[in-house]
Amino acid sequence: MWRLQEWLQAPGQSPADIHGIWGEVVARIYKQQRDATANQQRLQSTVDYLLESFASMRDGVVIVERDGGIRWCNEEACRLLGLRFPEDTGQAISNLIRHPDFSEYVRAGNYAEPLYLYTNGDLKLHLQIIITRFGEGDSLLFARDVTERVKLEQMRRDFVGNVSHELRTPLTVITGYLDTFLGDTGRLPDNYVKPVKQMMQHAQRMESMLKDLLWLSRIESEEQLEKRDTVNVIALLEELREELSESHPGRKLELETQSQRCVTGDYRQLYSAVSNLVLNAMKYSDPDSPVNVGWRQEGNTGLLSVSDRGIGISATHIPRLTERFYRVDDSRSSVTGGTGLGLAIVKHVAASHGATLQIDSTPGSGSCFSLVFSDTTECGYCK
Amino acid sequence: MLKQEDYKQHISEQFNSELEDIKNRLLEMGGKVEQQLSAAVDALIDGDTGTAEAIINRDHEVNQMEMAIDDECATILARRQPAASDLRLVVTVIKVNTDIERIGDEAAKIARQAIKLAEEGMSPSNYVEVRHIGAHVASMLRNALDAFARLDVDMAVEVVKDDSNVDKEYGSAMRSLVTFMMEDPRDIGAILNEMWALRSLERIGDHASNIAEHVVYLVRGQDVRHQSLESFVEQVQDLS
Repeated sequence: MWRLQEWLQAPGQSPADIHGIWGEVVARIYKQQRDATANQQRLQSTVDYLLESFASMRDGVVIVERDGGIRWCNEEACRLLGLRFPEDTGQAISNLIRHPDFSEYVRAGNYAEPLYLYTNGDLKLHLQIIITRFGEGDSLLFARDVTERVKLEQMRRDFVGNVSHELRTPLTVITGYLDTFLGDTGRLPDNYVKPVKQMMQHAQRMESMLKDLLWLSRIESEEQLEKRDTVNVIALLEELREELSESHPGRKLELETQSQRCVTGDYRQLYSAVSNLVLNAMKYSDPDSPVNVGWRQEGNTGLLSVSDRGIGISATHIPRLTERFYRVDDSRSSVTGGTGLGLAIVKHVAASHGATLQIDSTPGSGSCFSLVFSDTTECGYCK
Repeated sequence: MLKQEDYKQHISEQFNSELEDIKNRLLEMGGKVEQQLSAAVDALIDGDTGTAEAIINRDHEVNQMEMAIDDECATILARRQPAASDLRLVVTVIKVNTDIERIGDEAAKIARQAIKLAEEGMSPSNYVEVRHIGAHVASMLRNALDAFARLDVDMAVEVVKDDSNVDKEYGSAMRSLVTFMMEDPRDIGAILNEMWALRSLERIGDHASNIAEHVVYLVRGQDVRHQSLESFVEQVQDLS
């Protein structure tokens, strides 16, 4: 027994030479010890293997413990986030990534959407940060350099904006002259009247298209809403009705407002989104059929719906409807004079207001476009 | 010497977390001010009055954070009566807190100059100096805060040494702006505005260097302020 005790206290040694029942016990213990060691080695090599695979990743990877301390990070994370490993082990990650957006993001704890950060260190980088939770409150942070992508996106926006702007000036000259010709059709040879009228019509369509493109690129370039007013939806709908009664006399717009709540956002953007929806509804339905606009709430959610009894859209087209210049039917655009950008604008406005655009439609019996606002507020002057 | 784990050695969990908390909050405030500074410099260079306005409006958030941190430090002093390295931490946080808040004020001042420059006419210098000194000072501030987070004396020493470079750059920027003034007196107004912005940047460099000196005090317990650079470096090396 004493020899057994001595052997157990000196790990790694082969078992002492004991016979009898004690020998049996020693053999069992020895076998268990060996199994445990082998198991541990296997686990360790798995862990090493996993860490190595993380280390070789091109994205920055940081393992963060529950209390916010850094447990492990790879080389790319050191480069992108300015960390040091292993010196920074145990250091709170928020102490080294001090960007206010990052601390806000971590505090909110909602990691469904990735965070985009513009680092102002020696490296000026746009980073995409993805955090996932695992184990008991630990989390895994991935950082990816998306500078290139952000720059390309920026260039695309600038390009669209600049081109639209540059094209407007020559177009104004053209429409100006066409307007002069058409103002005095008597002096125009008869066979030119129709072509000039058509030219005018198309030039005007192009103008409104450029206007929409510029508006769209402006909405897009404002990453965050600059204006955060409390928008009274009912007042907005009333104003829209007034404007449409002048531009589209004879069309009936029915308002059904069951909610008094307001939404937070930019009045002009919201107005343009709703008016785009209503104008679409008017375009694609009979001149004598009414267009219904509803505003109601379910809990905190606000639902603004615009429905018509028009031709409807078949389900195959709905997913692509908000793409720029997407047409259900190419022959239709010239008749209705649409720009093909209306729904793209609506989608962008919805996105920047934390709302979603829902489209329900049955061909032949009408469509319903709804903006679902996730958050509405009660405000003083609603009542 | 003070080490990272030292805050986790108290018998009272609560005390540990209180000390951690003031450190975390101070660095969070530092992050906010870093952002304010780089945004202010960008706004000045781009002539972006919208951003500049937003920076000025955000300054009160920093002021509020300063008061909250001071309040918490006072509570810790009163309730825990800390000693040795704990006391140094609280004292350092109180001092660094003031420096960071001042940096926030200077960033707001730069934003004000940005608005003036955008509205009253650009300086003919093309802001080469602002760009250069701005980047330099931002990296000093970042390093000073990193040194505080990591209790890294070597980095703190680098920041203090760097401050003299900023002072030199500031001097030569002044000379070059004065030549612009002599070339065309009509630009004097705009150039004066730019000089104020540069002055703010130079002050931010001083504050960053102060923070670094406080880090040396925090880790080594030695007051290394108010002496020549040479004797400062000597003193820090003697201790290590």
